[in-house]
Amino acid sequence: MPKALDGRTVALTGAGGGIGAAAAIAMAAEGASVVVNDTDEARAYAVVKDIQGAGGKAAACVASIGDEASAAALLSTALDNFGDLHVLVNSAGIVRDRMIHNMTLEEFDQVIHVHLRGTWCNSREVIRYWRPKAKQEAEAIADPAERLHRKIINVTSLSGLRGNPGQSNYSAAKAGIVGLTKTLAKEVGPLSINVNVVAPVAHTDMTAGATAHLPDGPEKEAFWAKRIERSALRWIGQPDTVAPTFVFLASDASNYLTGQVFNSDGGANI
Amino acid sequence: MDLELAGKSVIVTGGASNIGRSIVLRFAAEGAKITLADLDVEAGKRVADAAVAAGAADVNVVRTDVTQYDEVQALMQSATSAFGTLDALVNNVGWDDMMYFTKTTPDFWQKVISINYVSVLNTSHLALQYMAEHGGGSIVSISSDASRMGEPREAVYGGTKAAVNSFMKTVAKENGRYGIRCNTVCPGVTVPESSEELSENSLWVNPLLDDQQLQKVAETLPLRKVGRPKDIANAVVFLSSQTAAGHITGQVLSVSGGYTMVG
Repeated sequence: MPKALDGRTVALTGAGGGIGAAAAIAMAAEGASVVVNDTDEARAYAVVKDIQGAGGKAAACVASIGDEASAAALLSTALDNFGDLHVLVNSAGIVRDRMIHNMTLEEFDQVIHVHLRGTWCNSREVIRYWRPKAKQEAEAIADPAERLHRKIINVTSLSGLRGNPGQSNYSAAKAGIVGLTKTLAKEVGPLSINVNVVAPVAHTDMTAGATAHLPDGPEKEAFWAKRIERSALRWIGQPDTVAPTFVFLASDASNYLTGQVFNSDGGANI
Repeated sequence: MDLELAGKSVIVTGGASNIGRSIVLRFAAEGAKITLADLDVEAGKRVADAAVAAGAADVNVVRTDVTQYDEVQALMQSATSAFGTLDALVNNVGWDDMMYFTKTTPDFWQKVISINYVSVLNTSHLALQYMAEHGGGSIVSISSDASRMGEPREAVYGGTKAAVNSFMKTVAKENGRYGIRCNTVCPGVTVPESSEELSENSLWVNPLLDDQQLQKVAETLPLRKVGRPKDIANAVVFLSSQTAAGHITGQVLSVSGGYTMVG
């Protein structure tokens, strides 16, 4: 039985853990060759090993996201190992939470750098690579529905859509990614490149940081209980829970969907 | 991706043509048990045959006027007794006759409101109660990008579809605690690919737009193509899957080539 991503190569940033890793594993299981990027070499190779152990194809790209060099490394890892790239997932992220009066400019810049600047640099890199190919295909294939669709999947957050105290840096970056997604969707749609953005909520190392300042016990439990109560399904998922959304947005099943914010959050943002 | 819809009991309203037909065939390919509700039973049977050939575990066609609560009760009864349960409902029935609002009449308003909105109230009212008592489920309603844009010649229709969006968000919040997910898909201009996809009540029996107009529409869209029923069906089937979309509820998703980017 053909799989949803047979023959496709996907590059995912920050895929050494959390949602990026879950999406990489799910995509590889659907037949994709996967580039696993992370700043942490051990984490990146651990995910590559997991995928290969399950019979999948993966290569690591150890680089810190946010500049032109890491964007180029991401693309060249895909080309060197798998000969092409079809899907980019910008899932790398960091948090430096603090109320604005205590936040340093450096903390603001770090978060903007990885999320917004990184998403922009990586997107520009792959669009520059895809553009001549897509133009050639558009000349050869009259019906846009028959052309290969390439995909960029970005990641935003409830914080970027609704605001969240203590995250003036992160929410600004994530809101910026929504605007960037919609603009790119309009710019590159005629080239059959779909650009969408996922707003996930899941338990990850990064979200665990939200309660890192609290001791284990009733206060921490109350924090999460409140979060759960706010979601319609009364449930905060795991990275695995969110991963199928990335598979759907990478696959041909979503070829008519672009410029959309895709909340996968248990109904936290309705 | 295995959506794990094999053997699941699904109702699709307006399943005999266009988008509804495509939704039936996509569920069929996943091996679902399908109750196809439509006014046009003959067209429904043709789709049912195609669905069985495509892999449906079973298909029942039930003549239903979804604007009538008692007929929807009979539909629910039929689906749950034939297939033992109800896992997913797709509210697909829809209708419009495009004209400027000043040309419409109160009778026309009632018809549009009844087909596009009251039908969703009828089916959802019964399905939510059933699903709440039986461990949850999924409801997907087909709305329209007209609900998000203020589309000329679709004033009443767009209003009813905006009502559907809001209704679905509310019932998502009210019923999430029972494991019921409620989502909405907004197609843009979505055109059948062949006359085989039509039924006697189909919106596209008398094409709403000619080929030249469709070409013009396509040129204005970021993806430069009009929608096809299968584009919508793919999103509906994904959202109906507890395995793939078990964490997604209360969402209004435009599948319209980038026509709107509201959400």
